[in-house]
Amino acid sequence: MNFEIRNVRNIGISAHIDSGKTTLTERILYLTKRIHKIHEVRGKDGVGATMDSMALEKERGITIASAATYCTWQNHEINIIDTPGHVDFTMEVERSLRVLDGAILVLCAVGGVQSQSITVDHQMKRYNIPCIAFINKCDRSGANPFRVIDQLRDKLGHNAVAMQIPIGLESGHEGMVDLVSMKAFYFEGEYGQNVKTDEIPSHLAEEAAQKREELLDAASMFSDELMEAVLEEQQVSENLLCEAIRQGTLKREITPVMMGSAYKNKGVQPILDAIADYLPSPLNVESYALDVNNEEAPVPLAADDSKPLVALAFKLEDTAYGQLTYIRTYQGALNKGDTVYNVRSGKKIKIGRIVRMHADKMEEVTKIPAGFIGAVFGIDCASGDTFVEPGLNLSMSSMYIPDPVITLAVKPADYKSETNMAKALNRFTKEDPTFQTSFNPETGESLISGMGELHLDIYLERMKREYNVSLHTGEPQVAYRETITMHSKFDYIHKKQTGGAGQFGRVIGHMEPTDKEFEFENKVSGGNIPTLYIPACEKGFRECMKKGPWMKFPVTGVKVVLSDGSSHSVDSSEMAFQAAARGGFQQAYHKAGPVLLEPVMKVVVETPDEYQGNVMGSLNQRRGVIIGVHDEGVSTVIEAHVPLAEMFGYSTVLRSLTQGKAQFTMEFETYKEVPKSVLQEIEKNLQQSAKTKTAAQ
Amino acid sequence: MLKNSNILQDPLTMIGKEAAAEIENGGFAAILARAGVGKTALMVQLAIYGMLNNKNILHISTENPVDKVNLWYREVFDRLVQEEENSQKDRLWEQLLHRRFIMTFETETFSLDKLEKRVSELTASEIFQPSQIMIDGFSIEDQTGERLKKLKDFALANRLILWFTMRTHRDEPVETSGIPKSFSQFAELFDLMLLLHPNKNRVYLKIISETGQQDNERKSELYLDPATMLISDTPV
Repeated sequence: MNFEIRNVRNIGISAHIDSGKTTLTERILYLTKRIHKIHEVRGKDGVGATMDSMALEKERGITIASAATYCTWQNHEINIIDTPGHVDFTMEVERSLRVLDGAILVLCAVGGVQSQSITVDHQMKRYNIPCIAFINKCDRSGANPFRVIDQLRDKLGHNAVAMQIPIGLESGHEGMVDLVSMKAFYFEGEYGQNVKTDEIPSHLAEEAAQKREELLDAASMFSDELMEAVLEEQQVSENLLCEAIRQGTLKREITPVMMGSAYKNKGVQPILDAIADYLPSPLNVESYALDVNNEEAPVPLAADDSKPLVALAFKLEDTAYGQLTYIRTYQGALNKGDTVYNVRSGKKIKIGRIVRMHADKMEEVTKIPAGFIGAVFGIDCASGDTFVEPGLNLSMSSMYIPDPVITLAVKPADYKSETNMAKALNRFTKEDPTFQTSFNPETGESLISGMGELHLDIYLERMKREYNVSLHTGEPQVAYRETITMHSKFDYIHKKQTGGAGQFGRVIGHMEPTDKEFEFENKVSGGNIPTLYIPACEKGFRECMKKGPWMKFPVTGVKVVLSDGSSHSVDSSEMAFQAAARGGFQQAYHKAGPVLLEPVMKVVVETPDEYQGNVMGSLNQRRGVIIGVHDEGVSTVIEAHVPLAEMFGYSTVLRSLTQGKAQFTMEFETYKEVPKSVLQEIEKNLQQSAKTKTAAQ
Repeated sequence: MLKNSNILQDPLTMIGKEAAAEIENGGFAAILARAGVGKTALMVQLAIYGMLNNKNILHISTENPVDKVNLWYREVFDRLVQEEENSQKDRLWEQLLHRRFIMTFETETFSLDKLEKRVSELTASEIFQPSQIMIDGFSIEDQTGERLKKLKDFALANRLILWFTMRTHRDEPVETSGIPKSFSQFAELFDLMLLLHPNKNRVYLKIISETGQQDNERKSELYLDPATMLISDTPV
């Protein structure tokens, strides 16, 4: 790590799924000589792309976990985090963006700005990340990079400016004209490694001149010198133009747009140049930490090795050598042997092995200088923890963590799997804050929650492959509840005379609906039930709430008023009154109009305008009540209340209904009564499972 | 439909004239008032009454998000049914929800063309078949008489009644009929015009018409109860 900080670029590559991020990264690594052979994402050699290091990623052809790597280009060190493109993995994208200084937004020349590009762009805005755009797949049929530039302007509000124009499109895509140097670039050799520079083809000269004018107009807003040169029609130097574009890019007021085809090895070197020329170094980025001792007041940080350390753990991985923690230093250097302080846990940690990551290979180093990204072995921490020099109490701002939207019940098949599953879940929840686990005491199952079915699917697969866990999974059990709707009286005598001490207790009162979980009111007067036994009565009633006498689901919203009763001087006991209360509860409950309640979710779907009818139809089919629709011009936000039981598998349905262009979020809204038709179905299922259980015994 | 007749008095009957009967399919009705006087409260009250009478209400808002419109309905509903038992209230509310559809627009993206398109889509896909559309926050200044006539034809063809709330301005000149000047050129298209006007501590409600004739059937004054914003004729 001998690079000057101003020559360091910490960048991410973000885009919609299948836009070719990993393919682009593979080319970048090859051209910067980090790898010596290119493996395609779904290549025939079966090796898979270098950044897709997990077996599962290689098999499915998608990037699941970000892999970090670095390379060098023209005396610049470029740290790249390859980010997953699928909507279910946005946490990875968010975490990557949190630690990056700049990004490449990859767009498909055919698909243009797709839904995930919009999500990723929102994330970049949130973290104020400057970006350059790369319009990939110019060799594909239907490619139209200028339409994509228009979409960048209209849909994302970017001041997108073409830095190049393509020389031929679709199957005739040969290279591009660079509008800064006004030269034509062609890419020769097996992997396009030899860049041939030539004069602009005559048929493109006029278009190139016109697009360069547009570029000069846009860039001149960021440099008085350039503005002057343009107005006076002087020759504009490449350096002057580059510097103006850089200034605009750093402020996020201009988005330079590159184009090409990563798969056909065209246009990759100019992107590397653009990374070095236009994206910020850690010195160009203002980073702040929060002062824990001073009401979290922001404290500016400086990427300077001599200052006290402030670093963020942004990603964890479990490896054969123990936990590997990816760290970005914001201020000060992290050296081997240093003792640092974890602000969240308050623990002091000694830094052991420090490595630089290159996908799944690593090289050992002695320090992570200020502004760099590296990884450390053997420290116990969670994702998002801040490390500082002892004496400081600064925390990096907390990362935005979306709530999980789907829950699935899992049950290990055997004892060995149970132990391994616990280990796996412990690791996954530490690595990925959007993946959560809980235990449902009602069903006795472990529940895993995440950002979508695919998200959970991947973790289930990983549990099987990496931890050898054999699992039974099912649709998650909806947590039904029972409640009452009417006032109902009880008068119950519990009497037993079976030799020895007898049991006697009588309870009289009523139950009624309430807004609270459970209420108990004692109105017994004259000592008909001795005060001593009142708590036993309450306990008896309360016990019945755990498992409803009707459908065996927990009961909620019951108020019990105990107004009278009687006791026996010898045979009454706490146990007798508990039993009497249970009997009283059962007696009154069936007459109190019990109903079954189900959790109802607030579902918000954001969809392009043209699919709103389909989406609303799909929500209606799921017993949803559409609360409202908000028209935002090109997209529509639909809000509905839908029973949770109907929402399983919805992400898949929504994807197929909208070609993956719609997204939805779901959160608990309330409990509502189950309609009669559905109730019959639930009763039938319960009877069925009871029969199965009995048969199994 | 579960309906408790004690819950509501028909606000239109309270207004005196057989106002409801006058508005037929393709009919327009307007609630005119200055900002913050109670147009939305009155509109929502009328909408809830419609829902209780098995009418499907499409509520359009260009000013408030879906959540806020929903909250308006819940609050007005709660005030209307405050005497009822909780479980009864909740059941009634659940049933009413099926009769209501809220659609909100960014002010700048709203147009009558878009409204017609959306209503046609809703109807064609059988997602919701409105019988009454309440447009809250309608800017009549941006419209032409011709466009509104086209909307009327659309309403007639789809058997719809449209209610609008429109904001008037404090110092706006008023015609002798009581109709605000900015609205007068469109007045002939409207079958019913209600004006909310604050006076001292109350907001009074009156019918205005092009001829300037007031409804003489009513003896007592109508006003919005300051505590509940519901129509009241209880003498002060």
